[in-house]
Amino acid sequence: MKKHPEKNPPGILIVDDSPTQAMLLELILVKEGYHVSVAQNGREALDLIAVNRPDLVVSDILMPEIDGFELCRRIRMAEEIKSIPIILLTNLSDPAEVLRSLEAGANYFISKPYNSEALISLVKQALHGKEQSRTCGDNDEVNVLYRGQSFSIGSNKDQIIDLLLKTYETAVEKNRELLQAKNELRTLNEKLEKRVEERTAQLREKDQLLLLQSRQAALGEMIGNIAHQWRQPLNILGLTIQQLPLFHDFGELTKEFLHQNVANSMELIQHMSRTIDDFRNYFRPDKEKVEFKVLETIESSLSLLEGSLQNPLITVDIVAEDDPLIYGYRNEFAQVILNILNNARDALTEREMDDRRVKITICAEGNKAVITIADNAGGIPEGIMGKIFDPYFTTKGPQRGTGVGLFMSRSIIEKNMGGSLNVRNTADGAEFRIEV
Amino acid sequence: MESMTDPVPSVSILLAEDEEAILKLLVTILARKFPDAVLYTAVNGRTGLELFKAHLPDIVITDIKMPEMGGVQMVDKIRAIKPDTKFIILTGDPGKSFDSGEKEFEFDHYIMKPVLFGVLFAAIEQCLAEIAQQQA
Repeated sequence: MKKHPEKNPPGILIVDDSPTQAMLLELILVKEGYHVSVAQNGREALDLIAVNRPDLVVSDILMPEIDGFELCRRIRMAEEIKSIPIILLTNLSDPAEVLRSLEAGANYFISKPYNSEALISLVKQALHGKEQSRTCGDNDEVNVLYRGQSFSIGSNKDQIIDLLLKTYETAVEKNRELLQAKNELRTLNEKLEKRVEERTAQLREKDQLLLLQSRQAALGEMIGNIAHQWRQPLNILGLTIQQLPLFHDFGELTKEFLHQNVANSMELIQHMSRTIDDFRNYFRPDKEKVEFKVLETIESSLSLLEGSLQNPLITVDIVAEDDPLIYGYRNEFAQVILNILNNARDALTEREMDDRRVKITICAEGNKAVITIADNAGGIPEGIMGKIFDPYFTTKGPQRGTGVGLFMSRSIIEKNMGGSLNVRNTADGAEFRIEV
Repeated sequence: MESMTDPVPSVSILLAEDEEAILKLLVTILARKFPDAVLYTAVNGRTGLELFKAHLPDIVITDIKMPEMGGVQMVDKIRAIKPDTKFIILTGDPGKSFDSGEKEFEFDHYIMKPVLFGVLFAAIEQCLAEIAQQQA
């Protein structure tokens, strides 16, 4: 027989030290038409019960001073109030809590987080069950041993079965939630894998782009060098050829003069042609690893730069203490040497100075070839020392610097040839050190 | 340092160019085309300036990129000595024509390399005409 909510609504005492939880509970119960009072802990609860006996107590377990179990026990021990139904709020983290609830004398428990329907139905059940009182079944004490602890349970069979069902229901619910979470995780995982794949493809593309850009940069550098090599020969050729008709006009075009001029011109033309061949050979990608002499390769690389080192004049000294061999990709190695020399040339050209020098030393240390290329251009500022090998880093401005040269040089030496490329500042300038 | 002497030297020209082969070719041709002119040659700006101070030539034909002292600097200093000197600049780099990069310099003539003699002759002849006018 349910009491009509308007006439005399049942009074429920909420005991919870968390104000938010208490308020939540209060709102749910008040909405159902119950009369609610709130205590913040067990002691306050007992005081309130003494003043105004509630029809039901809903209590949290973890509370300061007197916890939910203790509150339960005290209520059960006091004659006037021992029959008040008690619902305990547990968070179901410890199975022993179920046994403890039973031992303490709680009628029901509900696990947090709870949904409001389950709570209301339990509240109704608890209030209804109160009417029936403890008439059914035996109330003998049952002793339960669980994980080394002994529990003495005095609840009746109905209560125990009810509790078990509730426990099972909760377990099923939790299981369902778990499966859902697992599914969501799987979906998330799949999405993540896809993202990783896409990202890897992107990075691979970037790598390709970098490679392409570095080749273009090297090509650009080469074309610049060729232009330098050809400029003077072209000037001289132009003047030489123009001389011929002029001398004819002056009446001085002798057979000797003609032959001499032609011979000079052909020499120039052949020199220019050799430059093309030199650069073409240099720029051809290596098909295979070969054994090559370091000194020879550096000398031929230098000859490609002849023109660019004239104006302003840069003196290059090669000091070869040994004549080591390297087994690797010759043209790629030459590319690295050229890149470092080009950078040195740029640095030396930028400053106003009298004696521009580059010193190249070659020696063998153990089974490694060690090459150093040092300039007297003043050195690299400390602030950018750590960055010069980074891709896309350049100090030459967007028009002239591509920023890929040193990055690719290091890549070639370290990845393709298993060596090392480093730089340090000396008293006069920068010194690059290659060990292969 | 060369000079082609003539009983009455009318005009003197200073040639500054660091590439010797080119300098030689220029002198050979100019000596024949302008037999009345006195030619002075220098392979860098410093020597060029010294020669200028010594002989005060009327026309200066110079390259831009030279060791020790570049063409622009030399021109600057020469102008300070004799402002009405005629300047003919020879240069190979269309974009990067000036040492210092910023200031705009005025020259009488500006000739791109490879040099076309026709263009060079025309420039020199125009300078000669202007000098003749000034002296008149």
